[in-house]
Amino acid sequence: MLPNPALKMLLAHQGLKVERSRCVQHRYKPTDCDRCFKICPSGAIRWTDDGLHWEESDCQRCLLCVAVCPTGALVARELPFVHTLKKLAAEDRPVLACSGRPSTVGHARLHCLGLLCNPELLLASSLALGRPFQLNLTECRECPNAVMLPYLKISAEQVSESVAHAQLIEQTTDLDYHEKSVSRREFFSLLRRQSKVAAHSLADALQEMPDRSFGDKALPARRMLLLQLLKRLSDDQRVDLTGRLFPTIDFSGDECTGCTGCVGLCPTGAMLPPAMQGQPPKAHVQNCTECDLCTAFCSSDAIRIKPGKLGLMAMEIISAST
Amino acid sequence: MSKKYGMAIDLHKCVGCGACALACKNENNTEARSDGQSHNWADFVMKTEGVFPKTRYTQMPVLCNHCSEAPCVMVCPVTPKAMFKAADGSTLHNQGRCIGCRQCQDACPYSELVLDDASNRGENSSVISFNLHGKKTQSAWYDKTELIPGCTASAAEVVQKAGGLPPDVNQFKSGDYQPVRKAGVVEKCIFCQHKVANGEQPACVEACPAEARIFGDQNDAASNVSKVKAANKKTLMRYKEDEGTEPNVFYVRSYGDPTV
Ligand code: SF4
Ligand code: SF4
Ligand code: SF4
Ligand code: SF4
Ligand code: SF4
Repeated sequence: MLPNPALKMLLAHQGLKVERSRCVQHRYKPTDCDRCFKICPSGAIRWTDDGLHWEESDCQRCLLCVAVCPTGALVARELPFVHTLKKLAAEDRPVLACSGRPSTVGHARLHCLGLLCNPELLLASSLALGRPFQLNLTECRECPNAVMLPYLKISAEQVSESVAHAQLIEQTTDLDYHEKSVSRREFFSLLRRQSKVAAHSLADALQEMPDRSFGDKALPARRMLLLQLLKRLSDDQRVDLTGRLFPTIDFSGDECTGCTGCVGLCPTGAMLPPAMQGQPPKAHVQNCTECDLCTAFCSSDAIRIKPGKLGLMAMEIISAST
Repeated sequence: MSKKYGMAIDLHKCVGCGACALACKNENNTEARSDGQSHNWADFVMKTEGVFPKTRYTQMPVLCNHCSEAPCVMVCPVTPKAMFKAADGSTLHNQGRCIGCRQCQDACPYSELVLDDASNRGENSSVISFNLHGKKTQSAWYDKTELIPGCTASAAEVVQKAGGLPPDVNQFKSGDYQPVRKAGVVEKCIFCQHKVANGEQPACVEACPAEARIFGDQNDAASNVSKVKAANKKTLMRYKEDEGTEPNVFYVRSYGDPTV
């Protein structure tokens, strides 16, 4: 299927938004976060005199950097992921494909399925759909973005320990794809309509993203989604997952001077001011994305973060890149 | 040549009336002292020495020294820096980029993270103040209690009637600094950038009845500050000179060093 004009317009918009105020290095230069630089296969993300820089012409849109950035400083310019999930949720046996290979079949598309190398997003997708779904990877081997495949496999393997829904399909014969039964004519007008809507809401979505100031707290979209989905689970399931997924944060009371510097540094709002001045901050672990900014900052070494499952999973992907 | 703003404070003329400090508070809408933060961008260091009748009292106005080698700027971890040196030599602050880590407050030799009671007696001071994370700034103005119930208005009521927070808020007419700061950021003297950019003098300079404060461009030999500096070359003093901060605030006094 060839992309129609509206779809082309969408493709032209593909790319990244760099939100410097979220980036660990922009917030606290002495940190050595290099997750995105390390994983980028084409050197398109780099640190310049001016700060974090994305070189559009070098980027091959694999979205690996988006997947590894712990704080949501790199955002894929596309429709919010919930739109994708909504489309998939309407199918009995959902198939997710990419727009990098328009000839592949799928009920919804991401720029590149490399985005799902982030285990948190893959987990959220599994929880949201609540049933098996297929990732159409049948043409990935011929794609320049094939570098993302090993990471995606690690991600899927790890998530399957909690919820085993995502199926990585590399052989066309394994693909179980059913189009909605609509006539050809109907189909094309539907597609035109949908992609027009999509193009409009993309434009909306892009406009809706003003640069935040450094002091603002913001959770990466995938964490917000995950937290929403956890709310839908039964109490037992939720307690179980929450306990395993999120880190624990402790302060060694003697060492913490109560300066609240970490409250300011934390980009996600996981460190809350204490009730009384001079006391250690309060930790809101569900907001912690384990960027390690606070521990790198605290000069009295008072913050102890024990990684949760999500952080460990992400770590696995990052260490695989070296 | 680019500008290099500086201030000279002539301690022969200064009578310690505090008009500068009050004018600064009005101009910049700074809060009352709370949580160990003075919020006094212009303040005083006071000293009483000796035993009666042989006593000696020193009162020295202090403010951000707009240091040429500013430790606050050096330590600010944000890119681009939230605490930065402007082209005109002043040390400015950007609230949008400040994350409230307080490293500047810690590094500045003229600032304290938390002031104790001794600061009420002028024994210490802090040129950088911090607005606590998660605590509304200007919080005193949210108070709903009436001093004399049924008679006086509460602070919150005054705010509501006056339509400003604080009620007598002074809106800056130029510059890009916010006239009222938010929670979770630091604040300090900006050499009244919003006035100076308009060709006016800083509020403290305007207010001083003794004309003890002289502000201007040190790179312009004809400016008042350059003249005062030249005329007092031998006795000119700077606060905590040995910290290597190269302050751009100078004290004039021909006897005894008030800064030690
Ligand atoms: S999308 Fe892929 S190629 Fe582009 S900057 Fe990110 S990691 Fe590099
Ligand atoms: S991974 Fe994210 S936080 Fe780390 S350097 Fe890259 S953009 Fe900044
Ligand atoms: S609490 Fe620390 S590790 Fe967690 S997101 Fe905040 S700064 Fe990062
Ligand atoms: S006096 Fe303190 S706040 Fe002012 S420039 Fe010097 S170091 Fe910075
Ligand atoms: S408190 Fe703000 S201005 Fe001061 S060092 Fe931290 S980020 Fe910079």
